[in-house]
Amino acid sequence: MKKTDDTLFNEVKDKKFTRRTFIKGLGTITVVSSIGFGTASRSKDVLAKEKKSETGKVVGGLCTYNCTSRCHLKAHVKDGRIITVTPGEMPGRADYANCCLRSIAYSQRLQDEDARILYPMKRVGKRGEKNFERISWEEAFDTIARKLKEAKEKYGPESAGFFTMTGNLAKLAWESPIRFANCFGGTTFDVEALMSDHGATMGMGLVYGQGRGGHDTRDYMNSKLIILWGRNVVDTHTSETRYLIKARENGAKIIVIDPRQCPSAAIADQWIAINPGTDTALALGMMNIIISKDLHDKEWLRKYSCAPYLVNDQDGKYMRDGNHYLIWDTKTKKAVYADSKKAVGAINGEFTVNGVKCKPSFEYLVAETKKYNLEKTAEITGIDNQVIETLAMEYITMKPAGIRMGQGMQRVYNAHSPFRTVATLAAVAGYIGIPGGGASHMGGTSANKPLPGVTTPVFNYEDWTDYGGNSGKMQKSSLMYDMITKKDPYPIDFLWLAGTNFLNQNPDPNRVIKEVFPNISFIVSVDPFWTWTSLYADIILPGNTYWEKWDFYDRAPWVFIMQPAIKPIGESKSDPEIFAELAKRLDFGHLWKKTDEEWVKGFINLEHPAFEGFDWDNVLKDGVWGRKDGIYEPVFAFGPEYQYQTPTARFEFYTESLKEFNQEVPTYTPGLENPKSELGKKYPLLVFNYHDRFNVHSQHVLEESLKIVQKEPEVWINTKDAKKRAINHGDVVRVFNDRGSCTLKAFVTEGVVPGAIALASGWQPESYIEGHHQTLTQLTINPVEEQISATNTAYGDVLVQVERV
Amino acid sequence: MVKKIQYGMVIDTTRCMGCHTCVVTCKVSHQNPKGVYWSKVKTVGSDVNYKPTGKYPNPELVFQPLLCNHCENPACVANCPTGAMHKRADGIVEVNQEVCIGCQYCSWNCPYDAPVFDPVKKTVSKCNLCAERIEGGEEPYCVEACPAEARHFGMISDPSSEISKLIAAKDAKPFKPQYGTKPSVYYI
Repeated sequence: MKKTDDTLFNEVKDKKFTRRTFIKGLGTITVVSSIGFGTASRSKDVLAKEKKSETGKVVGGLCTYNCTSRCHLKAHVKDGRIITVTPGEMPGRADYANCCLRSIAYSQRLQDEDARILYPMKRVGKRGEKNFERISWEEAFDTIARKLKEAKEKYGPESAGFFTMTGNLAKLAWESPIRFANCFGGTTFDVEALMSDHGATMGMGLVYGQGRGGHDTRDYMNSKLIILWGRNVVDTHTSETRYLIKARENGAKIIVIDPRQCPSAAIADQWIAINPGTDTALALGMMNIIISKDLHDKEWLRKYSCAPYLVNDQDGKYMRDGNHYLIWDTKTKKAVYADSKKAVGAINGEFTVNGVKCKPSFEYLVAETKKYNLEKTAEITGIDNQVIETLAMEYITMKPAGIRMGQGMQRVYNAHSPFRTVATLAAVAGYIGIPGGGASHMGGTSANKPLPGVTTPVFNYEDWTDYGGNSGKMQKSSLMYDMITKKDPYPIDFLWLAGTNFLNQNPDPNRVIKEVFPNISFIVSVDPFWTWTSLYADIILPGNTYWEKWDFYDRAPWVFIMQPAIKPIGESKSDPEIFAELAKRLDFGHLWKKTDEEWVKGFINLEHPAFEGFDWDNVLKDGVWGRKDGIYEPVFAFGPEYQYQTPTARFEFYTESLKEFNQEVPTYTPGLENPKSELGKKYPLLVFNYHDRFNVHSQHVLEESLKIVQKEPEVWINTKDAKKRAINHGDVVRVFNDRGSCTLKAFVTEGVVPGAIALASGWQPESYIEGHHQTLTQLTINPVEEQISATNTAYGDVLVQVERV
Repeated sequence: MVKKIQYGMVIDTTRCMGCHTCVVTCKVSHQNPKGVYWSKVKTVGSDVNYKPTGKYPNPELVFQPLLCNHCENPACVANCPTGAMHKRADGIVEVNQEVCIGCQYCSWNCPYDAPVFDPVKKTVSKCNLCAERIEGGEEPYCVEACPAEARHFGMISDPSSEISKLIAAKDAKPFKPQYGTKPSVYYI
């Protein structure tokens, strides 16, 4: 110890400082380490191990709400109440402990009995009225079991639908309704399309052959340029913010491409405002600049992409000999098998093979990009020529450059296009699968080492996936409205809603209320909170939250064991507890006999090396286990050894099956509701939804401690558009189209692109002066997306008018 | 004479993205009543939070978190008629709730509007730099929770401390030094 420390100690002794705590106090001051990246940041780990909370017991948990982070949390509990929540350490990642305003505030909202549904309730008024009567759990179970039997007898078991959204992604909470549906033979829905994240999955699938993948945010320390494209990382993947900041402090430039100056712009060097729905055109325009200047990475394209694969000019199919794709070998000047080791495939040119005129697929991509010269790209995107040119040149010269893509850009008609096209831009630049590069979706942080010879599974899921020999039917959520309305291919007579504020978070709720729900005899809503949707249920069941129950989450390299920090509020129950009672009444109680704790503990397979040294007492203290086979260093996907799961087994920008739609290569299509169309005369402004900093969907809205952040919904409108309509900041305005409207205050700003307005998602009708933002939206089936997979809701493809009230 | 102790903070505004986690953890963790926030996040140059300055297409969005500056010469202490507002030996400025009469002279005199009126207790309350946590070897809630790692806590009175080195290295500056209160919160 330094002498001064002793002196200081003596002085503060009578202020109840002890020598030990004071030394520790100094130990917290490791500020310099957070400037550099290489050294461990702060001393949270060290601190936490030694500290005892002054607020009582500390319980480890996990935030399982659907932002992109899943943060390990610590609840500080005193007298049976959670006082606050602080960041929990991530084993093996001393710099990764994170929590945010949402999880902290949520700990209070979930203990607010006015916000919670406390007891089972049955509807005694009309659907949509808050007219419910408390009933016993016994009555609720008996009624629901009877309704399920009735639906089964009348229309078959598949007429019982189970819709579960991302309200709680922990395993038991999320999967219980699906498991129950399978045991019963009911219908489930593939919800990603309706919620509008599916365009990303489709786009990724087309080019990479898998729906997710990318670079650990820490890998951007290797980048010269980082583009956050339609991705507001700081609000929707908050745990990654610090690594972007460090990469920037390390010299990387950060550019945010977004119609709205989202908070990520506050840690970026540049915000590029883009017209909503035109990201594909921008990426094509950038490719045009790069390729026309001959700056594209021909070697990468030749080696890893479909670029050299020959395509028949006539039918647009790849040239094949049997199962072999053909390329044009520039050395022997003839067509050879694509897997020929010695051949060097041409990526440009026109050839004739066995009398058939053909070209390398790259030529088709080039032809498409040529449609997007600077002037046209600028006109479509609303971005200045010079800005586009600089962007393209910086992207190709600041090597390597990494792109983090976000779902913001895929909430459009032809939702598969943006991710497909931006990833193709990265491929043209040769940035896929190299450190500091990539076109990433999500964070790519899950990692564990392959263990040769180990055959035992990491987790024991046999009992959980035992449905007693029964199974359910999965339907596309994109077709759900039509299916229920037309009773085609079969009726849905019973609907279970869990983890979803269905009306608030899905398109065109007026249609749901008028056309969809009336076709369903009986609706059950399980939710911890009163929601707009719960008012349309026939029985409401009080679900509980992640701090009130046992649950489990696999996030390699970590395994989270969630346990109750407090007693369930009111009479609330967990999903498996509810289903166990129903299963008993439906003769498959034997499949739901375990308690939540038994399920969770049973999932861990201690035989697997991942759990070497695992001790329940220790693990339950923190609620997290760092797998022994985990990889904790930054990883990235699609490296040179990656086996693309595409038809060509390469990065595939040319998709044969989309030829019939003229979308065989990445293609920009104007939106369904185009401001330049006839409809645009009546409704000239595009509206798009965004995720705000204070909420994940509707779960945090109206929490008292968050009101300093946002206390009511506001519509972001550019100063220019506001002026045209004589709207001042704070004025009450009405946003409307033929489908619906909402009335709220105007947030007049320079921080949103002219010609478009932005509305935050999550707010419920009670927060609007009139209407609801979701009533403006639409669900229009897209045949291209249906062929690829399923139509992604085009939340950003909506025209409206705004007027002062 | 023994050298004075002063805890303080450095806030890196280039890292702040305006999320308000600091503000929310402070309010929740200290169990402050409705509407009582001991800290704020201000959008620099703007009267409206989150509204940027400058013109489209290049508006500026910069945030500045604000809290009690635990000044060396606190105006709140100097103007407190009851002695409730006082400076501790470790430099933390705090209010003795038993003595405070809620007159709010402290709030009027503070250049940072740091002391706030608690409508429940009818007294003034304010940021205490999480003294109870510091005593237990922990960082203040706002420092621990900041997702951007924009806040650094430490002993600014010790020139060899990491925080003092950071102030020097980054040329961090106090906010509103012209009031002569010698604030202990520095900004990058």
